[in-house]
Order: sequence, then C-alpha cells, then structure tokens
Amino acid sequence: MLRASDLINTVITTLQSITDFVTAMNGAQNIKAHTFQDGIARSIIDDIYQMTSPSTLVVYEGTMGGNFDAKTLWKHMVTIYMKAANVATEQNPMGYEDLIWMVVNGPVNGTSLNIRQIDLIPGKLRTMETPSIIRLADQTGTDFFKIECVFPEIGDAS
Amino acid sequence: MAFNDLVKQALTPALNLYGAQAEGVTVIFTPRDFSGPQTIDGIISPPPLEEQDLPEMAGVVYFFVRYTDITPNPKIGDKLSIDGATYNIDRVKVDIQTNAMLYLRKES
Repeated sequence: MLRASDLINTVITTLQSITDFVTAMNGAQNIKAHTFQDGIARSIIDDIYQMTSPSTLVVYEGTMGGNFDAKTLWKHMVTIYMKAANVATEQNPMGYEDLIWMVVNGPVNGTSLNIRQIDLIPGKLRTMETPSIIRLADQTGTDFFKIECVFPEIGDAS
Repeated sequence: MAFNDLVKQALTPALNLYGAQAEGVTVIFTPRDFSGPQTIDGIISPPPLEEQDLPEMAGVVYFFVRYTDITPNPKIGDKLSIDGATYNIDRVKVDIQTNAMLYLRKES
C-alpha cells in the first residue's frame, strides 16, 4: 500500500502549482496538510476550526480496501477543506464557487492538464475519481466547503 | 429612561473592568467602507471551541461590543486588529439591547 503521507504531500504540491489558486490563498504557505502525529498534531476538529482566512487544509481520511477491478486493491480518500478570503473590499470578489473551479479545472504542474487528468504519482496512482463538493458550516455557523477526492492505487504499490 | 439606555448604563462598568482596553489589549476596527480605522473597546468572550494555542494563534475570537456606540456599525467583511493580529468579521449577532457579538476569524 502506498504511504499516505506521500499522497498528501503530492496533493499539496499539486495544489500549490495552480497559480490562480495560490493567489486566492494568499500564498502557497497557506495550503497545508493535517498530520496525524500524536503529541505533535492537533485533532482534526481543532485544525479545521482554527483555519485562517484564506487557507486550505489537505487531510487523509482513510483508505478503502477491496478487489475493485482485479487490479485495484486500495482507494485512498483525501479531503480538501477551504476557507475563502475576505473579499468585502475587492472589485472582483471570488467566492467558493470560484475556488472550487480552480482546484477542479486549474492547470497543474506547469501542464495544460488539471488535477483530474493526471496521474498524481505516476506508476502508483491512477487518475483520481470524480470528486464530490460539499458545503459545511463550522462551529461558528460560518459556511465553508470541502472537496472529497478518491485516488485509486495501481495494484499494491509501496 | 429607555430600557436600552439602562442596559448601556449597566454594561459600562463591565466594559471598564473587563474590556480589552482594561486588559491592555488594543483593538482597531477598520470598516469596509474605507471610513478609516478607529480604536474600539469590547470584551473578548469564549468561542464555541477552546483552542490549544493561545493567545497568538487563536483562529476564532468572539468579541462583545456596544454595537450602536460604533460608527459605522460593524458588518461582515469589516476587519479588527487585536494586538497586531488581523481578524475578519465572519458574522455579527446583534441583540435587542443593541449589543453585538462579533464572530472573528484570523486572516492568513
């Protein structure tokens, strides 16, 4: 099975290669991973709650195991949480509708292809499945969005 | 005396005792209408979830203010600077006594 931290790091570098998205996030440093390291990392509920504006948090949600098509044993679930910037004084304000479009359709890694059209880790991951986009509200009642992604692994990678 | 004036009279000593200024915290309010920054006072209140990294890392702050004492009245999208950290107003909850709880989220 592929190491999940490798997948998360690759998702982050891929998102950081979408120029417009990085601008909307006020810099690549605001596109970050949540890690599950006891004693170091906060709980996921705290990390999402404390997300600054704007920022993106990439989270490993788990892996589905099974014999999906006789060649796929693992499907890795990754969620991209987004908090948009305050655009009250912007002439051309961008909301979640625009941010989601950038993530799903924006060209990545200096190519003309988007995240849905490339093998994130060649030889180890297949093209991602069509993502789901879901609206949420945090503990303060403020709306935000997440993009749920599934990355099928090729065979049993290492 | 009108009821709202009574509430204001009752809250004034509380603000003087527990307000940000009394705590030595400077709060600067910057309205979205470009009318310019101004110093305001209020009480930093418990948010819905306690945070693990305080105070400089607080992602969410609830700030209680005398809503009608601030001109222009705070709105979503206005900004507050608390001891140098910038926060956006995500939500404004005004009560019938014309006080408000501002829901603030830290800016990246």
